[in-house]
Amino acid sequence: MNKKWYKETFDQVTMSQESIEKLKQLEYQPRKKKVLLTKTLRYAAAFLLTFMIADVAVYAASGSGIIQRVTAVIDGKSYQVDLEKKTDEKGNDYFEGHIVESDTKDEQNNTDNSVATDCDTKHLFAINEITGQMSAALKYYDPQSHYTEAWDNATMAEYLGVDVIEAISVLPSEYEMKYTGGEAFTVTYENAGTLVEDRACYEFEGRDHKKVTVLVSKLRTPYDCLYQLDTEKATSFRLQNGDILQVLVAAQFKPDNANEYAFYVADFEYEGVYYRIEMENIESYCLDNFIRKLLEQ
Amino acid sequence: MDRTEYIRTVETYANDIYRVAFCYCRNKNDAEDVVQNVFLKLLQTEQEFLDELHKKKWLLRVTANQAKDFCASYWKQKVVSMETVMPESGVFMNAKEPSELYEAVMSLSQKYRPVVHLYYYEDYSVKEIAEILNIKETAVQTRLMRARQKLKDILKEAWQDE
Repeated sequence: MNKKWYKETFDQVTMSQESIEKLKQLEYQPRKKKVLLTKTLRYAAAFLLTFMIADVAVYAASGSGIIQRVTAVIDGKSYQVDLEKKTDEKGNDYFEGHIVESDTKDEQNNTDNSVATDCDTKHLFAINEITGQMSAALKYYDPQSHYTEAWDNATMAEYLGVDVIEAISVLPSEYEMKYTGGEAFTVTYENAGTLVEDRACYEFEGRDHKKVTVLVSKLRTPYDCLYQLDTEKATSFRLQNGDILQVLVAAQFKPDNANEYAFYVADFEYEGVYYRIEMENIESYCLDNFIRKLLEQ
Repeated sequence: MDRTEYIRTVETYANDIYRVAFCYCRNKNDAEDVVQNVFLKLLQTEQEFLDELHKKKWLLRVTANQAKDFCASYWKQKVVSMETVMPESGVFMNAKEPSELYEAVMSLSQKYRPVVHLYYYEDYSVKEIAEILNIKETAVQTRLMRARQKLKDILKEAWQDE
């Protein structure tokens, strides 16, 4: 009788047909995450750098409208890439990169190694050919057709609707977090007056190598990399006003203590503003508190 | 595994896997996440299945592992999901309200729920449950015994002695 009752009860626990149909559509693709280090981290050895040729726009930190040869790392290998600035039918500038192929076999196979994508991609990076290091950079805006303005924190806070510097106060006072960013944020407009770049980067440092970085934008996701860390999960926060916030959190364990996090990243969007919060050597409960402080101001 | 076989496997086992995942997660969205991960594992695996019985046990074993990892993750422990602060909705596709047996089973601790489910719903033996969950048979027996006692305490006469 118990089994019959149990089966009758749990026969009713089923997935929706829609969810089952989605399962049928699943396809396995080898995981290729586009990952770029935006800064040197203490546990950098744990990170993996991978680039997909089709999705990467490569541009040289200097130069525009010219063909320039740069070094790019794609799928873990170094390539020489010739860059040429082009414009698509919508008037968007983009850079097309052609890998300078030295492999005889590929030349014989006439492999098309061109790399092209429009400037809206968030996966741009700059190559420093002198040091051989890669660093993230904002999308390239042609100075001929754009101009910049400097906004102070009050102006940026009013524009975003949140005050990030104010929100950091929720972290424990013993962390001694201090704002180490600049006094002004640079925003970019097209000559016609359209705001095209509004990304604000707030950086805070505290004692014992504690760091918080907050990237914010109303125009697009403000980050230019994905981190491949030990764990990643979409999770939910319930805010005071009842809204449910969906946050993607990735975290890296400490090498000497697999139960503690050295670094974690939270990506989310709320009321039209995109956020990325990175925390290093900070207790993870602080992330919850910080997000709530930020959004419930 | 070819596409036809994969789709047939989804149609046949998705709900079975979902129920086991639900026993761990106790909410629809997380359980569906686990199910998706299980089928991704199926797509990736090179495991050759001897028969359907073997395949199902493999799927349930992967489900248990995926669900345990999911529940053990820091963020899962830290964040309260919507379903645990609000009455669950959409779990029971046809019934209007969860039954008392459902409530009783969901109130058991996590280590008992999958054992109970695999025994009462999937009809697995103690030995098979031990293989699927990768625990000792004695552990299965102990958990089953304790779960039954707890269910008896909650459900009183409605739950028959075994």
